Amino acid sequence: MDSKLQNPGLNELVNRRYQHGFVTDIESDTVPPGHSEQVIRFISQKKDEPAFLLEWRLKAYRHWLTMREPGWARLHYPPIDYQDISYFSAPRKTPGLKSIDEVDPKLLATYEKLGVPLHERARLAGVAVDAVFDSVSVTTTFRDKLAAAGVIFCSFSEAAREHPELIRQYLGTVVPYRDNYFAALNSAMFTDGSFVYIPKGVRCPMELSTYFRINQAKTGQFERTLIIAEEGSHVSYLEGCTAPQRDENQLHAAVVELVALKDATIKYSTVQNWYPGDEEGRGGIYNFVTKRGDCRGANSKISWTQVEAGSAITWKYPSCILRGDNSVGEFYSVAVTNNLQQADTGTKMIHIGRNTRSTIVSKGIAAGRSQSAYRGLVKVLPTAEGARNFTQCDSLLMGSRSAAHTYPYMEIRNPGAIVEHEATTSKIGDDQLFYCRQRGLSQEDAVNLIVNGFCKQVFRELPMEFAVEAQNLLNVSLEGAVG
Amino acid sequence: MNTGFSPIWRDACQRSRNAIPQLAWLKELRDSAISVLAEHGLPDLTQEEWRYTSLTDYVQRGAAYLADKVTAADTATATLTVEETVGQPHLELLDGLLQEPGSGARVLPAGVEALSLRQLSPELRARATGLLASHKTPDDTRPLAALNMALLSDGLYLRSTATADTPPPPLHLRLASSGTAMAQPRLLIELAPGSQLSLIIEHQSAAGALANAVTQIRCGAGSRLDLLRIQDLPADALLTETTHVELDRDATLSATSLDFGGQLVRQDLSVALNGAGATANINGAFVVDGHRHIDNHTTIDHRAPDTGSREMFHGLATGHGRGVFNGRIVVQPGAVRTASALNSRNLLLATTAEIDTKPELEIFTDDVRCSHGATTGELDANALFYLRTRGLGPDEARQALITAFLHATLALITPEDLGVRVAARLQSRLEALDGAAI
Repeated sequence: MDSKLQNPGLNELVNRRYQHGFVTDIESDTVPPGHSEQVIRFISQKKDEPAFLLEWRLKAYRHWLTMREPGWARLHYPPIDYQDISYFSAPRKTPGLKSIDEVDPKLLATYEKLGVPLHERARLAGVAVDAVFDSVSVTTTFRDKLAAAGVIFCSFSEAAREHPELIRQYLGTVVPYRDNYFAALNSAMFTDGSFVYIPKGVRCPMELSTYFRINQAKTGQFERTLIIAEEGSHVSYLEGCTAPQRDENQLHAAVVELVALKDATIKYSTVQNWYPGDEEGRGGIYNFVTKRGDCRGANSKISWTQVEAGSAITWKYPSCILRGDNSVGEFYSVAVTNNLQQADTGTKMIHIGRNTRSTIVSKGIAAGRSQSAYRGLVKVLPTAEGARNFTQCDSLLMGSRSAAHTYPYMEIRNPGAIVEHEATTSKIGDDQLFYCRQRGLSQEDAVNLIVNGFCKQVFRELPMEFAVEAQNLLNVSLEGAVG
Repeated sequence: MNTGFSPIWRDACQRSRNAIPQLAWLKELRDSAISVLAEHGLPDLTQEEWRYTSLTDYVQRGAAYLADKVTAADTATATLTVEETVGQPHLELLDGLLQEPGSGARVLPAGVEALSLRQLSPELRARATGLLASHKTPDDTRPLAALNMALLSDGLYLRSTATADTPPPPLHLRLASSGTAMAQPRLLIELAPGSQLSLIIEHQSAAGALANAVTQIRCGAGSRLDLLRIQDLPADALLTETTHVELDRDATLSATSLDFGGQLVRQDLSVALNGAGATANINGAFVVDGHRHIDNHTTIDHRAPDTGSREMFHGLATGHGRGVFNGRIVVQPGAVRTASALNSRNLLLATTAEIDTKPELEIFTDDVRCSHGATTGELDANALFYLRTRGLGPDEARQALITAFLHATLALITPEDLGVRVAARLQSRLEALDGAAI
């Protein structure tokens, strides 16, 4: 296998550079590194937040100080110095923007490079975008059209100012600030994020999308997203992320809370492409994310789809609490690691209501010297009569120095539940490659074809634009990594 | 951090360090065990490996034993359930002490020698030390194995050189706890290259007894070990057990582990496939009813090319019982052409019972075939219906399906007549389950 990697064409593909690694030179307000109650008060004041939110942040911060960083994940990284991180950075010219034309042209050029459809492209694609640059939401498109449908889609800071009653009612009800170390840190320090509210019976007229970008050195990004889908509503939400190439590690600790009431559906798709570090594992984003959806009402549905291609470290378990009877949770994931990347990712499905159903499809692909772990919990409580779970997690190893791990947790307390778990770990079969080659495909095309086939179950869950992006991303990350 | 490792434990460890002159050769190992305990403490729920099993009762009862607060009255009604083994090869450790035969010489299979750790010659001490230190993990980082090393007052060294073509008769090892002390049985077992050994390890105890067993086994090249471990302890007995097996080239381990009794039982079984061509087949079954808690943690570590393993655990939970299974398969770099399959099958028969299962794979090389699977559910309604149509009553039909489910585990047991005896015992255990509970 290694000898085949000597093929210069393959090497070129394997060593293809991260394409989003540029830095935009924009003046910004950045607080000095370090955490304290003063920093939190500063953030809260800067954002003109209601008092209850500051109180909540401070409670979270005081609790965080009593916690220890979790060590159970299969991740190895040097200790994080939380005093060396700047908790707030904002592009200087943002306040008081009246229209998208007032946004710093350099910033817009950045999004152009990223392929974020902010302008015309957005209209063509029919996607409403909220773009978050370091700590601040820069602009949100298509607001009028959404407002006509009664949909609220804005930055979190704006929602805190203009819809405090909704924030007060829902914030922290899915991921309490005591939940875990990184969620507590986020609750104290979050700087911005997206807020979505879909009123009763409304089907959101377009797909909503947020792009997150870390630009400043030595900053952490702590965004918080809250999506509320009222009774009978429907929303599809897309999230993308990138960061510049740097030698240092930057921290990203986000929290996403989803609330689906009776008969509501939330579809949440992520293509995560933070800077993964170089071939020697220098730099890259530490991605510690808590994502959780609460199916509060009967017949509600939350579906997570993720393509995890970036980050030096990924620690992420998008979960569903299936509280309402007949509610449905889904998790479709492709996690790709190369070089020295490490991913410990999976999901949690908590079955509480009757006849709740969950499906987990996880595909891990590990190349180079990377490590990819699936960690998933299926918990069935005694009340979850007739609960049903199916889990399939497959790992594909490319090269003899990569590693793939599977840690499925099943905690079952209802005899009527049917819980099934299947897993396989393998490499691309020589017979599969040989077959493709003898049909005239090049080695790279053959590998691509097989890998795309391996991931097809997940890709078909993605909205179309994302599916194309995900497929390209996969090809960049992996093409030729196996011979 | 040293949770639970209070002064009473520390003092007991210090006292036992020099208590037995014949075990002075263990001094260095004991010192390092004490420092492991001082650093890591005793396990608690905050540790990933112990998230489902609390040792709170265990640590409290252990401390009571060490403080001599358990009086004879507490255990006066207790009797040991010793199975008749007269004339059969057998050995007994009572509270960790190797017992002398009542009359005459020990009955052992041909080619097997057995000695107390107190009686080892300098040459055998060197071999035993090698075995004790061969496996870094138990005494280095596992506090319960370290606790055993710090507190043990005897142990058994067993060596087989039997190379007969016909399988040797099984050697029955009874690890008994009287309930008057915290038992720390330690077994060191070596199979010479090409040798065979069939071993039954049976835990027995008085009511309320507490034991912490450690077994270390090394199987030489081409050797074969058939191991049956069985426990049907009283409903208030506590047992923790750490077993480590190392297999050289082409060695074979065939192990069956059966848990029917006890209040809290935790087994950590690790198997290292060190030599090319080594294979391990592990089957297990557990029954948790009443308020029983049984936790099986297994690790199969493939460290050489062309190694193979199959592992299958069957669990039955009813009443307020809780069954835990954590199976881990590791394939190290270079362990190419490994074939491994891990399965956990569970029957859950009450909403008050719980099954926690976690079949893990850790794969560090790409040329492998590994799979794992887990299922948890109740009895198949179609199968029940079929049996009802054949004239069985509802209870009979359920009994038949439960029996069939657990009997799959017994298939590996050799010799066959032993399997039959164990099956009869399992049957009586299942019949003793509360009819309403199943």
